[in-house]
Amino acid sequence: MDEDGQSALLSMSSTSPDNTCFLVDQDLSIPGMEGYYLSDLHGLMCFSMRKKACIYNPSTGQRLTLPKIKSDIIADQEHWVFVLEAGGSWKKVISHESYRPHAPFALGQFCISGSVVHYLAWHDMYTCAIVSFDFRSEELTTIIAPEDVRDDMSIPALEMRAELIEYGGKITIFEHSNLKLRVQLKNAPLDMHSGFYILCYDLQSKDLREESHESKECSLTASKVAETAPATHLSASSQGQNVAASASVSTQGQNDATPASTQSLNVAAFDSIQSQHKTDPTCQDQLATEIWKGLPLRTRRRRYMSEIPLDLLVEILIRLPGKYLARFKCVSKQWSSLISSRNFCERLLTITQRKQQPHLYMCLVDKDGQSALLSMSSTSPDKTCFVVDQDLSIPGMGGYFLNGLHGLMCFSLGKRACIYNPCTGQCLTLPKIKPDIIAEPGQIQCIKRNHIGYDPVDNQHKLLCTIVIYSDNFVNLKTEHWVFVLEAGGSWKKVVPHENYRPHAPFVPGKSISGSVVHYLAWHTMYTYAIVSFDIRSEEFTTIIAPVDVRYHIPALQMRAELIEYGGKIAIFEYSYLKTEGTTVLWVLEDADKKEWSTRSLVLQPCQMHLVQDIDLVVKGTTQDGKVILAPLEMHSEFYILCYDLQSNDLSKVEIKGIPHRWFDKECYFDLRLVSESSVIYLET
Amino acid sequence: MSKKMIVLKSSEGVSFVVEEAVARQSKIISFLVEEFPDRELPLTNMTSEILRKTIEYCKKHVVEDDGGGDSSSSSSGDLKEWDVKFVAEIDQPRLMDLLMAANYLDIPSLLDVTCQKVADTIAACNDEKEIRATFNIENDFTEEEVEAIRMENQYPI
Repeated sequence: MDEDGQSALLSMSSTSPDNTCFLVDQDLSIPGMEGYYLSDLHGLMCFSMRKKACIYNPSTGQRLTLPKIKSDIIADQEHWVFVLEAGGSWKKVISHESYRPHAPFALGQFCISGSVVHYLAWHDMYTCAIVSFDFRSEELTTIIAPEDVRDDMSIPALEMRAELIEYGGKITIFEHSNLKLRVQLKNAPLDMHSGFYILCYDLQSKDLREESHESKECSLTASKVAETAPATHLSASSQGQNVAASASVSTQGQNDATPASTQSLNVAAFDSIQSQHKTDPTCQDQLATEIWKGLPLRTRRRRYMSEIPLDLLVEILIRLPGKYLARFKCVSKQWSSLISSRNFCERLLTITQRKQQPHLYMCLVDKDGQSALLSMSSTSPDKTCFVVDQDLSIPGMGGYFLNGLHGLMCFSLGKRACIYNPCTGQCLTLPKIKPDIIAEPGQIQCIKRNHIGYDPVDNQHKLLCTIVIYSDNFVNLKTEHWVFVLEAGGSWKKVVPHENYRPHAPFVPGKSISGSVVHYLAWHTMYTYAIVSFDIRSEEFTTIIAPVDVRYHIPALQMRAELIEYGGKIAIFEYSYLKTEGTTVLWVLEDADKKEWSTRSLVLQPCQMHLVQDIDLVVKGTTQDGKVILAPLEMHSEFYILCYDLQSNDLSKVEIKGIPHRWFDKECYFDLRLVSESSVIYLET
Repeated sequence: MSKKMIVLKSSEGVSFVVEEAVARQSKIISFLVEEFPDRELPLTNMTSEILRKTIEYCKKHVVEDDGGGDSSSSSSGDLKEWDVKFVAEIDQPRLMDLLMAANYLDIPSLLDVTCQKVADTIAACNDEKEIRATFNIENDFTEEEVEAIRMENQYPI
């Protein structure tokens, strides 16, 4: 039976002499039938059919639907009997004085010996009993089941898995809570799936066999079960004596792997469970519900992870390093949808920004076109040393201009842009752009720069590509901008500039500040440069001309400056004279609308001048705590970078270890980026 | 000055007498103490074992603010070390119980260390099968679906 109410009754027979396989041989389905709680006697089957009990004889095909019971009570318990004879009707069983209400086990089997039906039922959350109903005298008797003293394991009602079986002619409780728990047999018999099978456990020989219904797969599950099988035990007999270990489960006892869900306990449980050839003690099902609410749930066994509330699972998963997360999507559907969700991605970003150790990524490319992408992490808490921990190289990768956002990195791969997520290993190569502007004779300078940005409203990542052509001294400067929305079916679209747009050439080697707006520095002319801002959502450019330093007028080719974030504001860090004089200037954009700037000049401490004197340095962004990262222009052995703390005017050295020797002391380009975010964003294409 | 004590009762009905300052690290208890002063607080979803563990943690982490020189008896480094040892000694099922207790009682720092320990345990697993086995998670994926997810994450190893 499925959730839509469709149901079927299938007859199966064994095809092999050793009964290891049953094949469906007949479909006996009746419209309106419900699949739960099949019970039988003398070849007559009894099941529920919409709140009514139904008796069915598969041999003759006779079907008898009994009238509904009109119960007197709502929240208590009643038993009714129907004598299957001409003119039969439901009659209420009059309870003894000593009678205690009980809730029969969901998915419960019954046991018939002679004219007595036995079944297991709960009196309260921790007390279960064998209830026996004598068909002749129509009297109920109960025997409380013995408690399991091992490991202090009181198993509460909803977690208990036990069944009455006939063992050596005696009524026996077969308790298998631990069997199911350890191997998650729940997977198999509770839910229908392809390759469905049942298991037969021979308690005498402690041998567990699988009986395939489709005769395929599941050997793994079966062997797992066999490993843990000795953990099961028999806890009691009807006489209240403990039966030590071995017994034999009749095939019938284990056979019933009725696909049903445990939730049904409180719902429709008891209509047919005891519906008998002759008798039908029926009761209301409220008892179990009340007990469930009234008693605290004691947990003395292993929890299922699914019992952990979703918000706690998020708290746990958020603490895993990104690369694990991407891989652990295949644990379960719940994990996968959680890890893929936008909320989770956003939380991960904020938490990794705060907590995770940042990674330093380095792109290298030499004259012969050989390239590498290296990941480095800090080995010491004070971050004075980074060591290469992974080689993430992709063939054909170009080394320059590493930009990134949300843990996604963007660099050039030949003439194409490439987006790379070091967490998931996803690498996306975008198509080539066919620019409308072409270089005229004599125009040789060409810059192509990719920046990645994010539109928080539409939850889209976009790539901005700027193509620039110019002659020497920025004569005849032409620019074009293209945008690629990183989504399924995305393509390059040209940005239509405003009237007041001025062509510009981005700084080489330039870093950008990315987010919902991409900012970068660019030249308009040899002596004028500006902060160019591109709004990812509106796809519009704004430019703010940088203030002119009155002391020096530095032309484009000699200017060393970079855009950095300083105290939450955008600032230009100008360091043209760091090498010679140890001086730097910080221009902080206080108010972008009013174009108000504040300025601060720094002079390096004399004792630290030796760190900058003999070497050309380039700014490679900032650390999480706002220090400016300066890297040598050239690669060499004993490579290091410098971190300049602008607040305390302190320059410190950070060693980089583990770069392969083949990169040292030869002409190569490299770029660095410190990434403190990681994400499992998967880009559809 | 004698310290004010409060009584917490586990699901088995076992009473634990705790200094108020210790118990107040739980935001829930802190709230309950103000609402119902001088009453026993029943914590019906917590076994004695888990409650004892929780109190042990709170005792270690209580901030003495009686102005004495001993106010920082354990430095933050020592405390961190202690936390690591504390969760390392707990087996997997009880760790999950403790996590739930920390969540229920609203003790952020305990929730943090327990979550971290569970995350570390996950990270130490070799593959998804081991995770499922360790944490009792049902595999509701088909082979094809697992393969599709693997394709998304071609992590270079």
